[in-house]
Amino acid sequence: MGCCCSTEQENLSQDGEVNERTRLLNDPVSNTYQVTASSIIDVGALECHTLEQHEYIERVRTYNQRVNAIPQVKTSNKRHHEVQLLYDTPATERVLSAQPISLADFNMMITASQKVVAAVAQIRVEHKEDLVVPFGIP
Amino acid sequence: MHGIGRVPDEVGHLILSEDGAVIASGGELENAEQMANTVLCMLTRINKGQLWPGDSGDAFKKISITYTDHSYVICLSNKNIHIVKRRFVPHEPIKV
Repeated sequence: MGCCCSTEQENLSQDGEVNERTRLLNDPVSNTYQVTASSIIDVGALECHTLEQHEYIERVRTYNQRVNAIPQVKTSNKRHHEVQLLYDTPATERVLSAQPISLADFNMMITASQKVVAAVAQIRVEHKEDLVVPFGIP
Repeated sequence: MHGIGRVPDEVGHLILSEDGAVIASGGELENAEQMANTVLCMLTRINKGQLWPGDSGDAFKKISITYTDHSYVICLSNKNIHIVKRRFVPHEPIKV
């Protein structure tokens, strides 16, 4: 057994034509250079897109309208670990001593909750049509 | 000083500071650290705006957790979290 290595020097063709000794792959460095050169974007040479004054004002107005059209979301500025659900009331005893909910309301809540749980448990997917259909592109 | 008997049907009380430290406890809620942690989690982690999107966004006056025979009433007062355990004695609406 032995390895088959040639010790001969590379014999490039004299006139640059492709022959059996030409490298199959291009020089990787020049390849990278060519790709980069063709992809480069010269920012400095781009056209100058300055807005005219009236265009600028118009855009400011349009963008402000769009921003104001979005419904405001009340975001609490309290930190994560601060009490958010309750507000501070001075009437401690009065609030704590308030009459509890009536038996009728309590039973109503229990019944309603049980119905909700039962209803959610019954949610099913109804298979009506095939999910994957072949397109009929003529 | 918060004592037993100031709230009707009270069987226990627990007072926490706004960051969850137990200030006072008594009755059935004496040393009820688990309760304290649970209530604190509930009060600080729930974003009311996300749970009730259509709501005005105002915070609640109190929160009651009502079981068949007892309830816990929670309120925030003077920067402290007050929790009271009460026997649940439902009142029937007065029929006129």
